[in-house]
Amino acid sequence: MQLFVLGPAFGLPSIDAGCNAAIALLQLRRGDEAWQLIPTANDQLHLPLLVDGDKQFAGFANISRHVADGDGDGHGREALDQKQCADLTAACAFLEANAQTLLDISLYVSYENYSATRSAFTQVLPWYANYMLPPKRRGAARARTEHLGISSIDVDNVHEDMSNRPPGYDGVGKEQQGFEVEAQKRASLLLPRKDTLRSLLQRPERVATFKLHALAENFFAPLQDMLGEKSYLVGSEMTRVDCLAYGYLSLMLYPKMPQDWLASTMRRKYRKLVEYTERIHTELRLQTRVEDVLSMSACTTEADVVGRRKACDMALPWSSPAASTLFDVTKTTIRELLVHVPGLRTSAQIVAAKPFKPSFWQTYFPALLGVTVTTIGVSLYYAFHTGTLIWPHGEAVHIFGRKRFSDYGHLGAALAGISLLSQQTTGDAAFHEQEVSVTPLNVDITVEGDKGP
Amino acid sequence: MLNDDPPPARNSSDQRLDASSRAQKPTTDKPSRSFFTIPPPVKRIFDKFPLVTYAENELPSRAPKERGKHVLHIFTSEEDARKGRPSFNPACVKWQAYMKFNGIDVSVVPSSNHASPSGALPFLLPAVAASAKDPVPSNKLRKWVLSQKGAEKAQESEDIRYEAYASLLDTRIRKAWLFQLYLNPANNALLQRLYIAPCSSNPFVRMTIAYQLRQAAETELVKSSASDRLVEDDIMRDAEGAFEALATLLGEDEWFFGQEQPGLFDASVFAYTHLLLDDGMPWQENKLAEMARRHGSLVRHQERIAMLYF
Repeated sequence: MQLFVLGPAFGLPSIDAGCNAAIALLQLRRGDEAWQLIPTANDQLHLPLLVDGDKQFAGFANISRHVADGDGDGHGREALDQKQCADLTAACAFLEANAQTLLDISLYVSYENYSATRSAFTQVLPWYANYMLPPKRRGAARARTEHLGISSIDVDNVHEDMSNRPPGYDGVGKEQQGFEVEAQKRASLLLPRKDTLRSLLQRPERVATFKLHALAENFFAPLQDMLGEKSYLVGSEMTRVDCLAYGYLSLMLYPKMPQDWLASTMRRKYRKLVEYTERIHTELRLQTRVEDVLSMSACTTEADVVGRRKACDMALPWSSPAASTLFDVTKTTIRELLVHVPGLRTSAQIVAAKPFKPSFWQTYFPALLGVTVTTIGVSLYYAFHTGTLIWPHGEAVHIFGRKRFSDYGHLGAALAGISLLSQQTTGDAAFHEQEVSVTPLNVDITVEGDKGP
Repeated sequence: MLNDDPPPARNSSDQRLDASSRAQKPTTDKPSRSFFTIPPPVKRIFDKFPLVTYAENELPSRAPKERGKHVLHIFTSEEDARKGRPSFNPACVKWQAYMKFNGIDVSVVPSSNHASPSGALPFLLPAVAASAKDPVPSNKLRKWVLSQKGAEKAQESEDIRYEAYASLLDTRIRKAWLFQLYLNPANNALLQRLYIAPCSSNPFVRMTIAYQLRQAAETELVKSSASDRLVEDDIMRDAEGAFEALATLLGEDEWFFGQEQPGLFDASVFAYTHLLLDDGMPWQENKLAEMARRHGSLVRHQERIAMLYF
């Protein structure tokens, strides 16, 4: 049995909540049996991925179902009554619905914290994946939290409005007149701009803080209520919902972030949850040193792996990382590049229960439309280009009242020759362009001159 | 706007009255005429105006008639709105049911997302007589309902598991609903009838709307499942577990969490179970209903609400 996960970080077995949960579950249920933990950077695998024989299970829900099935009855070794099963399902849904948002904001959305997350990624990912995986995860996290409107904690947004910058921010490089500075100082002494409570609270960073704390409360408070005085969320023994909760809570608690509002809220107001997380962490011996896991990549034989595990005193059955071939790397890179080409956004892959065969029109309509439009366009261009079709230009425009040389008969023809000559002699291109406006003037003068002789 | 303007006829007659009374005063009380009084011949001419006073205009026939009542804008058809039947959109049914539970009398109007100030239905226009006149978007409806005076306040459960079970509905069952209605090609005809046909009769416009709807549903599902691979079996299995948990929670009680009166949670459950179990929706493929039917208590819960309130 092999479990593929994203690499370790922050002293936890994985940087991903779902992977952490899956590791905790397998450690709980299969701790003594043979299973391997393989760090990988290939996120096309839909991590966490459990490979058991020829079957694959992606995602924590499927893995937990498979593990429970392997234990015999439907709920595995979890001796629960019907009511508790219902509670367990509900608690899982609650965790999945709320915890991910908090993790997204804490680890990815805030730029300062993201730089910490990214350096954690750098340790465990191969060099090329560093350019793809963390930005991709960050993009997904931002998309998930967009509706909350908490971009103001995000300082790398170039298009942020500048109205809330500290005074002097835009004055960099601007020479301030000494007198004005003095005058301003005195004026501010006379009329001090006092911060009222309201204006303090309405600053964007404060508004964001309130929102974040409200979000955190909405998650932690019900969870702590559910935990109550018990040791575990549902029933008296550790169940899969505790593993899932550990997956999320550990990533909230253990990483040291520059903006640690989430961990500090948890430590300050939800002691029980902190104890609960730490208890699971020690009970399942999930403490992981990143360097130890990375050193496994040097191992080549099975005996080597076992020896190193012993040497590093690992509780988890880490194995050498999944080797990626050049083909894999190229494929991932090209796919990642294609995603960023505008207009080539691939839609989600839908795995339907019943394979559906769309009708001919549904499948080929966009292609047919494209081909038709292109064909018509190209053939029209070709026809005009070769002269098979002539662009409709109609009759030559005649404006009444404007005198042209041809209106004067033979005389006009002669005059046209003269004026053409004069233009050539001046050789002025601008004059040539203004022929229409200048011509009548020319005509007038020459006609009078011609009448004399 | 129209009924706020004072009718022109009354206005001018008032002016005329004023003018005549003012004109009489100088002649009786003060014989000496000031410079500003109107000379009698001129006044006599102007007293003849207006020559004709037209009757007030009728309001346009599509102007809202019952502005004394709160108006709830939802996805529905004209006919269903007249009969007060539930909408075909779960969010709308939820609030419709919640209003009925609380005894708030609203009239229902078929509407579209473009009409809503927040861009999402349902929203409520309070009656003219009400103190607050701003439209109430769906996320503030609960607060609004609780602030109404005549409402019989349905107590919400204080159960510690409330949030957890609510997230079952908001994530698992909602995801399965989105998949079944929008992404299952078998239910294409239903999607066409409910959301696309009322918008336009032009086939190209319809195709575009269908594409946009499907894309929106897909984005929503991808966002909430944090993976760009949507497996129908997984989504449906999650929903099955959710229905099972809800049925266990309800047990043999009349309402959820053992309440005396149905509350918001009952409304949310009813919103999905009614649309899945009711015969009014011509589903082609309805796996969710099969799952719900396995739990007699959920079916009875739905029938009870449909009978008592709709």
